[in-house]
Amino acid sequence: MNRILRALVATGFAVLVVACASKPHSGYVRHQNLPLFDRMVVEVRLPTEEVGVAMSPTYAGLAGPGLVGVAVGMAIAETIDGIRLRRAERRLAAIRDRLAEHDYRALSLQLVKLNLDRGVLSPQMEFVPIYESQATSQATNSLTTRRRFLVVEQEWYFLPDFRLFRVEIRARIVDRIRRKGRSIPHWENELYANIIQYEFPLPRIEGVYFADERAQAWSDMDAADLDAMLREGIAGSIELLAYDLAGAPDEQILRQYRADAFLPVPEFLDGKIVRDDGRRLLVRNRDKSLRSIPVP
Amino acid sequence: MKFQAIALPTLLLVAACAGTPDRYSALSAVEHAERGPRLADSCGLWLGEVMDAREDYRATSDLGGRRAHVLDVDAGMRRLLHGAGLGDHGDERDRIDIEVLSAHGSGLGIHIAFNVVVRAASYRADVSIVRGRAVRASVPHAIAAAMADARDTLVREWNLRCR
Repeated sequence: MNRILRALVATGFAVLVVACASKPHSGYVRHQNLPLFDRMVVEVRLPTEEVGVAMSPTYAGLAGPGLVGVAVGMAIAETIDGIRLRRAERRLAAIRDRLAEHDYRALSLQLVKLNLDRGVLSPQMEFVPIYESQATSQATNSLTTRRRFLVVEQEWYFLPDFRLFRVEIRARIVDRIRRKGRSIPHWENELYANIIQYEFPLPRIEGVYFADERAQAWSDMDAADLDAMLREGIAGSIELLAYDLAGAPDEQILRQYRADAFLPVPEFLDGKIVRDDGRRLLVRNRDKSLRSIPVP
Repeated sequence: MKFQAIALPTLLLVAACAGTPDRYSALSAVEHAERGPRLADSCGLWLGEVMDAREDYRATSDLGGRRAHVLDVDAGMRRLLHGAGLGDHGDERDRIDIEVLSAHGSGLGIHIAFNVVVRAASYRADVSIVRGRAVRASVPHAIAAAMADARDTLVREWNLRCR
């Protein structure tokens, strides 16, 4: 009995060691491991034409039992999506009108080209702009197989309750390979992956309680202020990406970050403040993603 | 429960495969050109140049898993504005030039929200930027409705000015 127990403990320990030692193929990987590549392709993905609202499709599993139930559930989900989309479009209307003349995708592409450090990643960088999301390219089977390349996907959007405006970058250095005969034909082996978010929460306003009122408060902002906010978000997030790719030099933990102390809604992301310039805080979240938020 | 577990993914798969991934919508023959508000007779405005001022990369929209290519927005807008009573020739001071700055959509489920941004410049150098919006379940209908919405806004604005 004792021997079996010891064998079980030893096996468990061995499994644990193997699991911990093996290099993860997805998620955040320590940037210090990144080598300097001879030549690097950078896929700059910019799917957002204008400011949007982050919405995911309603869960189709509102379904009841049976095939009819499933069909009814999907129909309900689609109806709800239509209502949500109309509502979001209505709320966005005035904000988009104020920013109609600007092409933020061109700005983003230009800043990515300027900011990525050739001494850190590769002396020779080729930038390939793609104006659709990775998900759409995957669905339409138009992904290109490449080795050792950087994917930078940037979007700017409001959260559905209009409490927060966010510019987000999802960046990955990957090998993308094609696997024959698989349901998902493209496989990406990640060397680096991280998410960078540059946020602008709506300040507390007396008497503003609902999403419509908050959307109104955003659209009441001066057009130049809205434009400056978006430009700052795009430039700031790209700068943070360059900083993270460079191995986050001299990063020091200043203090613990407690989200619910700063934002009007409690958030369960906690992390550590690594930069405080008096105007904005840079937070390294528990999952190593970066978030820039204004000092409360 | 087991049946449901098989049926739901099957239905989703069928729904995903049923629609072609790329949708090309040419707007040269946009429908319902005669609907909506008409230009007041006293306006006397006429249509000069209608330009598709979109960059190449702004001609395609990412609808979340699908693409929509919008073609011939200039021809569509010309047709819509003629339908609203805008003439072909007139006094140079009543000339209106149109530029389509952007025509883009976003999707959620089967629904597509389309936005068309148009700049209208008159001989007297007053420029207005208007937008048309529509949410529909099909790509061509959403685009045509958004274009018509932009046209209606323009015509209402001109009618106010012509009074």
